[in-house]
Amino acid sequence: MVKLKATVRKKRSPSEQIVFVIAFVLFAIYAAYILFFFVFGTLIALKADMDAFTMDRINTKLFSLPKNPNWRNFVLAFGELGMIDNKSTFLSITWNSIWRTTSYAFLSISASTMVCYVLVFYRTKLSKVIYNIGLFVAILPLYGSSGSMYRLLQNIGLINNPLIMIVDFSLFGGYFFYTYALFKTMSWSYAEAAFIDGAGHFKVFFKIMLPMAIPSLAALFVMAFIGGWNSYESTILYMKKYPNLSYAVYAYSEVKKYDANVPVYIAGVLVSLLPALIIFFIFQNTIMEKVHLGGLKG
Amino acid sequence: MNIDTEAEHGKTGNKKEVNKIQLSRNIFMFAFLIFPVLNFLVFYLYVNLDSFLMAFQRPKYDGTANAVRFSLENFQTIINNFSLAGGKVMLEALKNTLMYYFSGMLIGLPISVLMCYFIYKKIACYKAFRIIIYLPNILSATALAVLFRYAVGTGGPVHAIIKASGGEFVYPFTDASSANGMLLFYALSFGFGGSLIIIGGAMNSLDPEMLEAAEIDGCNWIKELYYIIIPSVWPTVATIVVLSTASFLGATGPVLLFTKGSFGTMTLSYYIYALVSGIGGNQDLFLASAIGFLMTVVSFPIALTVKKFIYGKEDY
Repeated sequence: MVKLKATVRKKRSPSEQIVFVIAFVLFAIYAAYILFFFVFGTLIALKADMDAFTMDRINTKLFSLPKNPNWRNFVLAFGELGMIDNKSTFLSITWNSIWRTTSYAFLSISASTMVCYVLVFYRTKLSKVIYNIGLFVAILPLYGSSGSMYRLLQNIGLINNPLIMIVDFSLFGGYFFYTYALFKTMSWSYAEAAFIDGAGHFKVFFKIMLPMAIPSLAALFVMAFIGGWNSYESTILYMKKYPNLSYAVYAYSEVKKYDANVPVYIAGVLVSLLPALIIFFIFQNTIMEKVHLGGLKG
Repeated sequence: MNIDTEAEHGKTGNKKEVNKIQLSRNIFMFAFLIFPVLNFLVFYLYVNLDSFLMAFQRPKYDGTANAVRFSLENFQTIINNFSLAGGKVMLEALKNTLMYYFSGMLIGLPISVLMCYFIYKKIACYKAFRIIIYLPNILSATALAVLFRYAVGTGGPVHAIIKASGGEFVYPFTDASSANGMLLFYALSFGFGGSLIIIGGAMNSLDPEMLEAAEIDGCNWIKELYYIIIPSVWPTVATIVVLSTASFLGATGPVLLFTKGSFGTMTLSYYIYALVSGIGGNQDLFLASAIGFLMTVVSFPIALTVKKFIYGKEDY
């Protein structure tokens, strides 16, 4: 650790310093570019009314806060996003986001945890075959199956049906290779000791191995949750009657193409970003530090 | 007798006891694998086999539910769509798809590696930069697209700048000469953070003593990057290249969010998506399957070649 700090803190050569200054400037410009969209969105969202969003006024006063910032737009946004169809409300859309995202993250990570645990610690010919199929599926993806998937789901009545979540309990979903790598780094000796003490396979998994894997699995759960929260394409295909927030943002701009209340709409867009942002900021260290391709720090 | 089973239980016993141990082990494996395997058989294997068949089918329209007939019409339609008569939509989609793939590999990935390097070397404010660069990956694409659309649209800052400089403003997503370029810019500019965790993680796992030794030997930052860091993270970068190449025909920009394939922005995967979802008023699951079938046939040998080229005979 001391050596690492010494390495990092060493004095840089003049040429290196120039390169790092240039890199810093480029990083700063890029960061400003990304943050600009949030500032821009906030400025629009605080405009007093729809009339404020006109070419001349927004051009001349773009980077100044409105004289009377209209925070009420953020309240109105709750009603505005519900206008995507005749039965949704902001609450129902938010609830759809919550249950759909939670079930997706839980089922997909659970499935990959169960499968990878068996593949790593219960080595048989079957487990080797399953792992090789996983490699095959990852390296050679098949295209165009969405048409067949749609027809299958339609035929078995899973379109616009909450039971569609069973699709998420998949063999190679939920960050399969990350989970596999996680269990590869874990020691089996604790399990052996428990077996000698008479523990069964389920007890060893739930009481010993799973608790050790939970911190890293939590990182994957958070990543899956954020991915699920932002998902909108699958909603358009399969779950339009259960719209989530990400889809609502898309659908609003379609439905209210010509008569949108832009400041209120943008306020709604910003509100829809909050849950993913909050979760990311809470778990950013977990995500940034724990996840590797080909390995998770256990 | 199963050696693993003995090890698990730290003992050997008579045949009956071993069979009992083996049975409980098999029950556990069965319980953990059965549902994911069934899911795979139904929602992957069956779906892809059915997709293969659908490529050679057309609906019958004889009043019978789900009635189909075998036909090569889908492929005829695809061939027509390459020609002027079919609007050259397939040609356009192929061209744009390759554009997204190559720009991602040749521009996006090298810049991502460089960004990871400077963050790894703890450039000033690296923690803040790391979070900000990763932000587009955790935010809803639909929301980000809305903000971007207004920023480059009428009344936005781009409009203001053009207006101030006396130029004529045209909304870039409704102009065939700029729509593709703007989509590509959007995809690249918000995509650098995608590999941040993976490549950054690989760099963080490097042995600092190795870098220290190189420094003592007079290695400057360019040599350090070129001779130590890039070769060390190469397996990770190679994996990204292989996986991206394996699915290179699936490369696409945010077409659905901005143009829906209009103004010369169609891509292969969006074309399939539009055919399945019915966006644009033309749902055709069979044609979508045929396009997917052809994409798979084309990408299989390419993916295998790239895998062999990068990994050699080493197992993946």
